[in-house]
Amino acid sequence: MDADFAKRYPKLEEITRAIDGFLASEHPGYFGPNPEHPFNPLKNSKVIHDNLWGTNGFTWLELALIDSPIFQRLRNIHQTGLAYYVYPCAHHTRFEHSLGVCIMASRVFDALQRNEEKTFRRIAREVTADLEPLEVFERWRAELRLAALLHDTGHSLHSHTSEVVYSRIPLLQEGANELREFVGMQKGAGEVLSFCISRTMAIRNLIARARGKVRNEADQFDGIDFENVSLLIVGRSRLPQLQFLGEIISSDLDADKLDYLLRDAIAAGLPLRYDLERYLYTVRLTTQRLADGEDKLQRMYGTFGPSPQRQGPDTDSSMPYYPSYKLQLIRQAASTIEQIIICKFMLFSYIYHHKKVRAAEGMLARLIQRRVKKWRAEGKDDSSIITEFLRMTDHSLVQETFELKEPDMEGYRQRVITRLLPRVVVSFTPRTACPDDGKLSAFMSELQKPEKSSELKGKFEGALAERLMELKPDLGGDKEAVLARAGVWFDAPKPPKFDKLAAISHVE
Amino acid sequence: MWTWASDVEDAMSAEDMSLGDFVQQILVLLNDEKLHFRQERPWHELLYRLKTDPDQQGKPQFLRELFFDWNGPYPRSRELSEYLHGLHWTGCLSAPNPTYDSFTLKPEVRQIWEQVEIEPMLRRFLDTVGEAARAELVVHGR
Repeated sequence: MDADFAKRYPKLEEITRAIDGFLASEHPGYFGPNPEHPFNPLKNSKVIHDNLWGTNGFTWLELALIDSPIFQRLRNIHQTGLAYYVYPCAHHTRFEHSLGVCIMASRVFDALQRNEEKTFRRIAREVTADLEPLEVFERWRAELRLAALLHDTGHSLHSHTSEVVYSRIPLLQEGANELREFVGMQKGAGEVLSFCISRTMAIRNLIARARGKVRNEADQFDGIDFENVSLLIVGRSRLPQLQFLGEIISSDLDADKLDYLLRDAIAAGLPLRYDLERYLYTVRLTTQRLADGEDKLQRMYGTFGPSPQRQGPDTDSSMPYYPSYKLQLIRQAASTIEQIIICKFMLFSYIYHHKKVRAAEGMLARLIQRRVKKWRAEGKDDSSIITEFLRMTDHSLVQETFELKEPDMEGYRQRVITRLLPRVVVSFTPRTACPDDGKLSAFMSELQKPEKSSELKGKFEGALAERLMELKPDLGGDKEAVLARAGVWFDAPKPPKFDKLAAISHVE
Repeated sequence: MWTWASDVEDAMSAEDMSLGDFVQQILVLLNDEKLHFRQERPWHELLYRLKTDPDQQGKPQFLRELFFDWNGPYPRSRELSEYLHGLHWTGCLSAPNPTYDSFTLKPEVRQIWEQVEIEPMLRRFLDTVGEAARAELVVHGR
C-alpha cells in the first residue's frame, strides 16, 4: 500500500521522507535510530484545563503525541500571527488551539452519537461487521482526536504569515497538486505539511513505543488506522460512509472553526460569541451522494484496499457516486449559523485584516522571502527549505536565522520586533468603490482573479517603484530594492470564505 | 502602469481568457437578469459540462485545466466560488436584502467589461454558452 502510494504520489512521499529525516536528526531522543522517549511510564489518561473549554481528559495515545517536539513547538507559534501588536492579549498559540480542536471534535462526535444513534449503529455495521458498535465508535473517536491534534502541526512561524511564503516552494506546490489529485479536493500548503507529518514513521513509531510505556493495559492502539487519521486531516475518510468524520476536522462548520472563532475573539478582547450548545443540539448526519465523475474517489478509496462499491449513474445522477453521510445543521440552527458567519466576518474585519496587523505581517513576509532567497543562494534544495520551516517558530525572528546581514532586511527585522510599522498611504475599499464610475470595482475584481492578481500587484508596485526613484534617486535603480528600502508595497487581502456553507447548513 | 483589459490592443483569445474573464463575459451576456446568488450549483455544473464536453471551437484553454472538487453531489470549482464571492466583496455584484438569493451586476462595471475586445471564434463560443447560461443561471418567475 505504501509503495503504491509512493509511486503514485512521489512528491508527497519525498516531503514525508524529508520530514522523517529532519525529525530524526533534530530530535534523536524521540525520532532517531535509538530513541529514549517517552522516558517515564505514561498514565492511561491525564487532565488538561483549558481557559475556553474547561477540564478535559486526554488518553495516553494523545499524550504521547502532545509531549513530543512535533506538538510542543506549537507553543511557540502564535495563533493569530502578529495580531498581538494591535490586540495586546492575543498571545494564544497553535498549541492550545490544537488541544481545543481536539476537544471540540470529540464534542461534535459525542453530540452526533447522541443525536444520530441509529444512524451511527447502521454505519458501524456497514463498515465493520466483526466488531461491536461501541468498539467501532471508540476507534472513530480516537482517530478523530488524533487528526485534530495533528491538523496544525505543519504551521511555521507566525502561522499564516509564513504559509504565504512556503506555499510558493515548488516541491510543496507539486505536493499540493498531488494531494489535490489524491483526495479530489484543493488543500492549502499548511494542510499538505500536516498531512505529510501525520504519515511519517516518526509519529507511528513514537506511538508504538509509547504503548509499551503505559502503566496499565493500553487499549485503543490496535484499532488506530493511521491512514484514516491522515485523510481526516484533509477532510476525507478511508470510507465514503465516514466522510462526516473528515468534515468534523475540515469543512465550513468544523471543530477548527468552533475553537478559533471563540479563542481568537476572547484573546483579542472582542465581544463575539456563538451558541455552541445549540450547535451541538442541532448537529445531524444526512445522506449525500459523493459524485465521482473523474474517478478520483475510486482511486483514493482503492489506495487503502478494496474500493467500496460505487453506484450509478442513474436517473438522479448523471455520474457515478458513493453514498455517504455528511454533517448538517438542522433548520433550528439558523441563528447559530448566522452567529458563526458574523463572528468570522468580524474577526476578519477587526483582527486579520486590521491595517496594522497587515503592515506587520507584510514586513515579516518580505523578511521570510529574503531568508528563503538566501537559503537558495547557499545551495539548499526544496526539501531542506521545507524542513527549515518546520524548525522555525516565532522565536526564530530574534535568533540567528534572521540575522541576514543585509541593511534593509535588518531594518525590517528591527521594525517588526519593535513595532515600528509602516502606515497606510492610500486605501481602496468596496465602500470607496460604491460612488465611483465602476473602474475601481472593476480593478478590484481583477485582483480577485488568481492568475492575474500577482501580475497586477507586480505592475502596480513597479509603477510605485518608478515614482519613488523619481522622488528619491538615492533609493537606487533596482525596483525590488527600491520598494524594500522604502518599505512600500501593494496589499490586497482576500475576503473570508463561506463557499461551502450552503452545503452544510440546512437553512436555505 | 497596468492597463484595463479594454486598453489592450490585441483582442482576447481562447488562450488568454481566464476563469474570471469568462465569468465577467457571461455576466455581461446575461445583461440585466437576476442570477442565483446562494445557489451556486448551476454555475459549477455549467462549467463542468463545458470542461468535459467534446472539444468545441473557441473553447478557452482554462476550461480544460479547471480543477473541480469532488466533495458532494456535484463537482465544484473552488476558484469559481471564490471569484463569485470576490465580485460581491468588491461591489461588482449586489445581492439585495432581505433574501440575498439573487444578484445583479453593477451597470458601471458592466460598461467596462463590455468594452473588452474578443476574438471572433471565442465570441461565438461565448454566445453559445450564453444561451445555456440564460436557461440555467437566471432566476425565473420573480
